[in-house]
Parts: sequence; C-alpha cells; structure tokens
Amino acid sequence: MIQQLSEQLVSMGQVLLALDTGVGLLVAVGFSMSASHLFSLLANRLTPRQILLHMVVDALVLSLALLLCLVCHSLMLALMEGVPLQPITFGNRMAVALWPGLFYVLVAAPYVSDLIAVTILAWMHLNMMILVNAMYGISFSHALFVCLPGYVIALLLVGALFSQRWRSSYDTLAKEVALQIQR
Amino acid sequence: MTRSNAVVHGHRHSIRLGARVLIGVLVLVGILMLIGVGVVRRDAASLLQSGSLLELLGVSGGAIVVVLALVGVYSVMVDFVFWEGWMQSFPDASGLFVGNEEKQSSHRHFLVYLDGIHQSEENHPPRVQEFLNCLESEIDNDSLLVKGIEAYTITNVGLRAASYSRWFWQWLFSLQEHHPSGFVQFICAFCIQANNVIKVGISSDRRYGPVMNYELALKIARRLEALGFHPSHASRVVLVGYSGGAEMAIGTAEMLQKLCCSSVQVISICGVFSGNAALESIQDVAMVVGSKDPVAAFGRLAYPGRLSLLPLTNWNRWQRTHSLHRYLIDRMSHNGSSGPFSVAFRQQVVAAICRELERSLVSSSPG
Repeated sequence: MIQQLSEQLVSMGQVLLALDTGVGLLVAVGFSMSASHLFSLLANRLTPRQILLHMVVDALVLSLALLLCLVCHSLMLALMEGVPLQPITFGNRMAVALWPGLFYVLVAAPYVSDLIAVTILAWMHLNMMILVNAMYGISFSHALFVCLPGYVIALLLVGALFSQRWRSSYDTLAKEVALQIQR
Repeated sequence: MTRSNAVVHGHRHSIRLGARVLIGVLVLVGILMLIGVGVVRRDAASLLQSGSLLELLGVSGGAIVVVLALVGVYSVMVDFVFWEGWMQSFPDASGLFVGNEEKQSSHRHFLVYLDGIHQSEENHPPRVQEFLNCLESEIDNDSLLVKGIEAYTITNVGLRAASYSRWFWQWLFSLQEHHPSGFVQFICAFCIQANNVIKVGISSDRRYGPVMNYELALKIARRLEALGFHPSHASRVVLVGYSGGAEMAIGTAEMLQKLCCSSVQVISICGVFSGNAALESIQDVAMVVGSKDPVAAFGRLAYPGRLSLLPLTNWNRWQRTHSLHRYLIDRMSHNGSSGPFSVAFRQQVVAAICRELERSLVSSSPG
C-alpha cells in the first residue's frame, strides 16, 4: 500500500516536472488568492478603482509571499542536504508545485471556504515535497522537513494579509451600526 | 431639479459601474478557471489512461465543487453589492422608528417568524400558514405575530424581482408552476432551496455573516417600523425561526437588538444553525426539537461550532454564561406528516412556544 502510494507520488512528480511553467504561475496564483478575498474589499465600502488597486497590490504581495516560501526551501535544501544555492533556477522549476493555488479563488465561496483552503494549501505543500523528491532524490520524510519552514512563513504572511483586510471591514460595519444607534 | 437629476445620474452611474465590476470579476474567475483546467488537462489525461472510475468520479466531484463554489460566490456578491449601495442605495437606518412616536402600535411583544429553506416568496405554504394561524390565536393580545418576511433575501423585494437575476428566478418559478413534468418541477424547487441553503451558509460564515446579518436585521427592523413598533413602548422582539430560519434568527438577533433598542430573544423550531453568530448580549435562546428529527441532527454535524469539542465557539461560550431552554417533543420529525406544522404536532409546538414566551417574560421582569 505504502509502496503503491510512493510510486504514485513519484509519477506525479514526473508530471509536475514535465509541466515546467516557471515563476509566471506565481503571479496568477497571487491574483487567484487576492480575488478570493475580494469581498473584504467590498465590505470596506471601497470604490471600484480602489478595489482594483487593492486587488493588484494584494496579488503582488501574495506572489512575493510565495516567492519567499520558495527561497526558504532553497535555503533549507542548501543547509540540510548540501544542494548548491540557486534560488532563481530552483524557483523557476518549483513554482509549478503551486498550480492548485490557481483555484484558490474558490475560497470566496461561503461556509465551505475553510475546507477548500486547507485542501488547496495542503495540495500545494504535497506538490512541493513531490517536486523536491523528483528533482533532488530526497526522501519524502526529509522533503517534508525541508519544505516546512518556508510553507509556514508563507501561511503566516498570507493569513496576516487576509485577517488585516477582514478586521478593517468589521470595523467599517461596527462604525455603521454605531452611527445608527447614536441617532 | 438639477440636484435630483444629478442624484439619479450618479445612481445610474454607480449601477453601471457595479455591473461592470461584477462582469469583470466573473471574467477574471473564468480566466483563472481556464488556466487551472489547462494545467490540469495534461495531468488529467495521463490519469484517465488507466481507465480508473474512481479518478473519473474524483474529477466529476471536483467539477461539482467548483460549480457550487461559483454559485456561492455569486450569492455573496449580490449581498455585498447591496451593502456597497451599487444595486440600489443602501437603506439609511438613522431615521428608524422616528415617525412611530405618535402612531405606535398597542402591541408590546413582536414575534417575527422566519421560515425554513423551502420559502420562495412572502406567502407561506398552506401547512405553515395554518400553524401560524394557530400560534396567532394562542399568543396574548398584546403580542403581534409578524409573518411573510423573506428570510433569504436582503432587499424588500423577493427573488422574482431581484436585481441582476430576476429573469432567472422568474423563469425558474414559471417552470416550477407550469411545467408538466414532475421531475422538472422538482429540479426547480431544488434550485430555489439550494439558493436558500447558500444564504444560510453565508449567514453562518464568519467572514460574510456580519454584513449579511446586518442587512437582514435592517430589513426586519424596517418591517417592524411599518407595523408601528417603537422602542419606548415595545417590550421585546421574539425571532421564531424554523429549520434554516433558526440560523437567520440567531445570526440577526444581536444586530436587531442594537437597531431596535429593545431586547431580542430567539426560539428555534427544529433549528439547523451553526452557532458561529455573536450572541453575547442575547439573554434568551430556546429550542423546540423533535426526538426524530434527522435534519437537525445532521445540522449538528454539518456545523461543528455547536459541538462541545470546540469550547471557544460563540455558541459554546454563550452556553457557559446563559441557560439554553430545550422543549423536546417526542416522535416529532423535521417536516411532512410528523413535522412541527403537521396536525399531529402543531399544538404541541405552539404550546412550547407559548411556555417559553411566558417563562422568559417572568424571568426578565424585575423582582
């Protein structure tokens, strides 16, 4: 069973290697993630122009967070496995692991969002491990450890951005209600 | 003249802008989906070579999730476009109840009934209407039962007149009412109920819930205003929610209490609710439950916020400081001939509601 699973993961790694989409995918994933929290911008009562601007800025910030994640992986590989530090080459080949993030926009769906978000984020992490295994021949257990710090950093950055947006929208709502009560 | 023209022009401009943003976002989502499918296609092609049915089911399941999520996103979009004031100007609550100082109602207790997910228009189905008539005859003279509030729309108009999607709903209602095929009628009814289930999901979502619940609370408050409600005379507002209506009731309770400046209590009948809503300032919540209600039991699983395993949820925190009153009705199911509106159980449910109204009144009275 474990052997079969391992073989399937290895074949998935080969498919991911063949895709080789490069870092351009990072920006698309960033936009998808940014679009998933469009409603927090609407809740803030921003104008369409402001919303568009915020979405673009958020997408770039989120892409940067994911890029940091890849750089972190590269550093961990250099530190733990002695792989020469080549962040640009590494990032270009590893970015394909983030393809499930293209569907992150679905996290905007009500109530099931947590389930979708956890699935997509876990899938991205699994892809990372598979690719590290396929590219450097590192075992999955080691790959899990190598990819963990960068993944945690990316999650913290993404979480901080989203929670800041929603906190600000709740403040807008609270102000509106407070205004009504003061009448 | 010039000023009003400018207002109308500005309003039209904002509607046009809103529509453009909506279309732009949907196109963006479509592009992202296409990129996603393009990437997956090669992966999926290699998977399908093995001819595994399980994998095919996985892809189909994924497609269903995507469609459901997009429908949910559209539904949230409508709520937030209303909140932004793009669909029509967002109602101003600053003058709420001001005109009622002189023409206030003689009633002191206002019972607001929020129907389950089967609701598609203001009029309730005959069985529910009979139940409400029964409840109306049993409550005190100084209590008023408010019926016909559409709990799953945020504007005063129903689905038939909803902006952007009215053509779709009119077509669906027309098929439901006139199509000769029972299957088509069933599918149409299912779509309407699915829309209401999504609204329940939005209300219970910790991100979207506050905005939607505020919009619904405002709608209820405006209805109360039209009925002569005034905070200085009214004693309390009681939200009676059946099934998914219980979620809407619990979600809006705190906001409604703030808007009405009057205490609000909740009574759920076979309630399916998340327990995510903020309830700190609500004193009384009661549940009328059936011993054979599979839907309410499923609701506890679908909404883990009510499980005791998660002590920090709003529901569990409220339960630590307040006592929840449960009225268990033996052998009662969720709907149909053994549901709360059936002849067999109607009186018991009405009696339980009246008992709760009396209990909460006694417990809240000073001394």
